[in-house]
Amino acid sequence: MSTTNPLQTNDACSRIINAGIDLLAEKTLGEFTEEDICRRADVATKTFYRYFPSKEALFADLIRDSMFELTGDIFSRAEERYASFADRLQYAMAQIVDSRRDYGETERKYYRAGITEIANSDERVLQLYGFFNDYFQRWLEQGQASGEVTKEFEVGFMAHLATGCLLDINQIWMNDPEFPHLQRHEELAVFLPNFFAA
Amino acid sequence: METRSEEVEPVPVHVDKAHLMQVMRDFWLASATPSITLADFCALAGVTTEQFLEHYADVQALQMELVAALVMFDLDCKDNLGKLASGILQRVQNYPSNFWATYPKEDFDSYERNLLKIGFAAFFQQSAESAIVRKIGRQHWHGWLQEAVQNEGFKPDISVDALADFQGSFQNSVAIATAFLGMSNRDGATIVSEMQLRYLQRHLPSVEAGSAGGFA
Repeated sequence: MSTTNPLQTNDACSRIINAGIDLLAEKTLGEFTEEDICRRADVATKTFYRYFPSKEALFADLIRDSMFELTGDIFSRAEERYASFADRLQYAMAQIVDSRRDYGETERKYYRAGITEIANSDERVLQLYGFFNDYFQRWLEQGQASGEVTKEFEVGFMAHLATGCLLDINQIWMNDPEFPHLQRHEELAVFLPNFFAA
Repeated sequence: METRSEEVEPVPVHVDKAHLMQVMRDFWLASATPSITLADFCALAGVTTEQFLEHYADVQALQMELVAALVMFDLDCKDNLGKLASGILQRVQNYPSNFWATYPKEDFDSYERNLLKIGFAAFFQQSAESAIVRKIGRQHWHGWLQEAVQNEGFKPDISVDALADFQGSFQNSVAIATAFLGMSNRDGATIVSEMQLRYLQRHLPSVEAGSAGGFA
């Protein structure tokens, strides 16, 4: 999925985003304000609010865009290259693991800040949820048609469970830095095809 | 609502936690969203901010206490099942019916759906309570699965740690569908249980079809 973020082409907005990420690498979200971001970005406060209602919304937009663009690309490639649910999932999880191998505390804080804001909005939750759910639903429908996936259960419900597992891995990792999130992605690629097998 | 008031009353005769929790319950039954400010809640409850703060640090603390009640109900159900049933298949199969047999209502209403929304947001927001709840909830699954490996010849295709996490995720998924998508919690729990049984039976080679039913 290619979502063009017009804000990223704007110099002031780019500076705001970079300043926010820099500050989050140095402090917790509660330790800096929108004004701190503006000082670091060298923009007026009203410029910040022209783009984002709050610092939390800034990170929510960032995480949503990165998830939709990065993960969307991975899922699209999986769909183009492979036909089976198992192969698609295995490819997608391996790509996600590769892209997150170097993630550290900064990325964890950055995701946490964004996802917290997303969790506070039903609309954002459903948008994020629906994004992954649409892929899984399509893959599972095709898997049912080919005989790979069980027809015993409604495909929409199975997609829902798959989405829940995937998002949960990220949520738990945000809560717990020791959580083996890369390993869990790999295990999910083994588990779900067996769990849904015909 | 008996306690509803347009303005803050000067000083109610007695303010306790039960009153505040009841007002929040009434608000959630009537509301599509769990969000409310401290000032609005105090006005609704007919208490001053100071009186509220004698019992809770903020509105979220009160809401988390209500969420904990629902979660503890679920955990009690699992504890109960652990004592009543032996073998992982029996526990998984009997979980939904055991839960609903003791649950006071047919299915979740707007109050429980708002509880789930708050719990979901708290889980995202790193609250200590939600981290504890996740760990406690996972312990049941982990214990059941580990017992099955040791005593029943269960051979999962991934680690027991991962399986316990994914089973917990399934329950979260049902909670999210109930809270945000309006699905019946009862239906979701039952379907997940059926799918789990199917998976477990495939990895318990000694189990014969139909032998999973009933309490021990």
